[in-house]
Amino acid sequence: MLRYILRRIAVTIPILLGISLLIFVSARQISSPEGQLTLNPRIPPEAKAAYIEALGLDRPWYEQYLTWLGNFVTGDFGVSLVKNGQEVWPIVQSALANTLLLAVVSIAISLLLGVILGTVAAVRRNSIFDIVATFGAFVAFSVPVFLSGLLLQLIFSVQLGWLPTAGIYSPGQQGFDLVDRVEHLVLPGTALALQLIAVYSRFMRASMLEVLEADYIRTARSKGLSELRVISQHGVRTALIPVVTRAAIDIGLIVGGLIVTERVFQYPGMGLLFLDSLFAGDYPILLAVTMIVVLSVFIMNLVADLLYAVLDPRIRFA
Amino acid sequence: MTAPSRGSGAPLIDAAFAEPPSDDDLPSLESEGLAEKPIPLWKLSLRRFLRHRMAVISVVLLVIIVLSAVFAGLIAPYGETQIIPGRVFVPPGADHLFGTDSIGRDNFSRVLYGGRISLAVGVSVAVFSGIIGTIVGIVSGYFGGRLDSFLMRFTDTALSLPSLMVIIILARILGRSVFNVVAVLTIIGWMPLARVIRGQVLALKEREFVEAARALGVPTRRVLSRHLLPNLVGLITVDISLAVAVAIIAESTLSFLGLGVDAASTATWGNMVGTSEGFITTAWWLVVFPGAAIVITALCANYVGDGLRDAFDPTLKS
Repeated sequence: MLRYILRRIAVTIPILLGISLLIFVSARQISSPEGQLTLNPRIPPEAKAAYIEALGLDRPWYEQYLTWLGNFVTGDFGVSLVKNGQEVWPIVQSALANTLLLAVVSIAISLLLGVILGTVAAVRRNSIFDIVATFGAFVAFSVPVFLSGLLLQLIFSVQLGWLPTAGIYSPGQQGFDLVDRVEHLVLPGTALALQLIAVYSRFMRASMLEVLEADYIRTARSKGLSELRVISQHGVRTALIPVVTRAAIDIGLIVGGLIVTERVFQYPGMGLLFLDSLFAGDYPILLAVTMIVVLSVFIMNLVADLLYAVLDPRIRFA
Repeated sequence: MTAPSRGSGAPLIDAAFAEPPSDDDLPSLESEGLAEKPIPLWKLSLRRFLRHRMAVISVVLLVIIVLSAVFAGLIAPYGETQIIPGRVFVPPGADHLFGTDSIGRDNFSRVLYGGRISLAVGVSVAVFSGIIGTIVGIVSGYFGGRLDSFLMRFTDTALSLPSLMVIIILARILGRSVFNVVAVLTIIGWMPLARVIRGQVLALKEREFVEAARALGVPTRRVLSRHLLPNLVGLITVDISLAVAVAIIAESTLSFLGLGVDAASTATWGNMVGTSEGFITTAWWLVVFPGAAIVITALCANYVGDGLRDAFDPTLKS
């Protein structure tokens, strides 16, 4: 197993280097601090030159890339161009924590509900429940995230006044307050969960239908086990494997995939930081955010593959 | 070892709605076959499609939506950018079916005109992605070798990243225009289909009829176009119709984030919702009507895709 992990990491490194180069070129393409400096006539030319030299912007791009890469690998993420020269890492760190909290809570709830819905839909195939659940999933796949987010805000914040519209704390809130923090999680979490429940319930249904055809299910039935036991002990266990690994992959993806949800609810996570730095041309932050997203995707893909092998004894590492 | 499927967009829906085949889906021998005259394949397909009630309803709705966008000039009571003096934020009513916006433009007319761009983008992205994906998939699967392993490693890596983040970066680099939105979505969109087609070609090229054709000295181009392609038509058509839904949602998301078609010059359903976000508390109709247009169109496209899957090949369900 350890050898498998090491080999996977070794294969991944050149891919990561290639992606980092692409990201660096794109980020520098999007943001040009040199251009922004020339826009402001009040900056004296000497200060401009000093700034450009300090950032190393006058050097060839591959030198800039290698310097950045060296710093990144050693944990030096640089300084924000926009936010008064703040260190990048603390900004990214708090965004990452916010996003992971939202993602993990939402995925856990979606997984639970999705597995229940999918199992019932599979066991009672073609029943009213199955038809309604299928229709619900089709609708969920057809609603853009920004729209469901806006509608949730309209109904639960504006009309009913139950929940806050945006942010993670109420204005004027000092320090940590569990109730306030959870209240701010409900709407963005629901917007995300509506989609995830649809995905997981469909996966679970398909997986469960396949499992129910298997020989060992017939064996379990013919042993005289109760139907509830057959389904819960023998069926769900096996059918869960692809769904759980899918959820593991989702944790990695969602670190970068919550862009729209975080934007609608002004939730200060990785997605919002990504958009802000993209529009502000703050490339040190943009680079750090995208690289961390890419890393988390690769790590969670590896975790998913390992999880697959641990859960399913039929799979062995080659 | 096998990894769980991790495609995004269309194949996700494909996998999520997959069903194992059941006996009643297959045409029984008594009812449709072994008669004096064989029933042509397209007739069988059409019959199976018509049996999918939601798909048939969706086709009718889509025709209405497309026609009302095409003939927006005749149907719309006002122009796309026409400002009606003194009619700001009029709620939906007899004069203005969907109300008016913040500068006094008729929302109903704008939804009709906006449909032109949204539908055109959705269909062109789906068709271009379908063509590129088919070509790459066939070449990669049939010829194999180094090109194949490069292409598959490339798409595997690209598809494992959060697609929205990639799309946003590309859109930001290219700039805002209808053409660029189509280009960006196509750059990402062809990959899932290419992988599915490749897998199918790998299986097909070992089949006897392909071997027979090759043994008879049929030129490779003809083997590809006459023996492989017809067997892929079902798969491609299903993918294209599901991809329309994905592309319409992606276009609207880009426009919502201010990275799609510029709202100042051209209305699309996405940028109509995006520019009205701030008015959600005062003028819900500016969000709800273009939003509903997106959802209904995407839902119909998804149902048509589902119906086509049933129609072309009941065994595709597994």
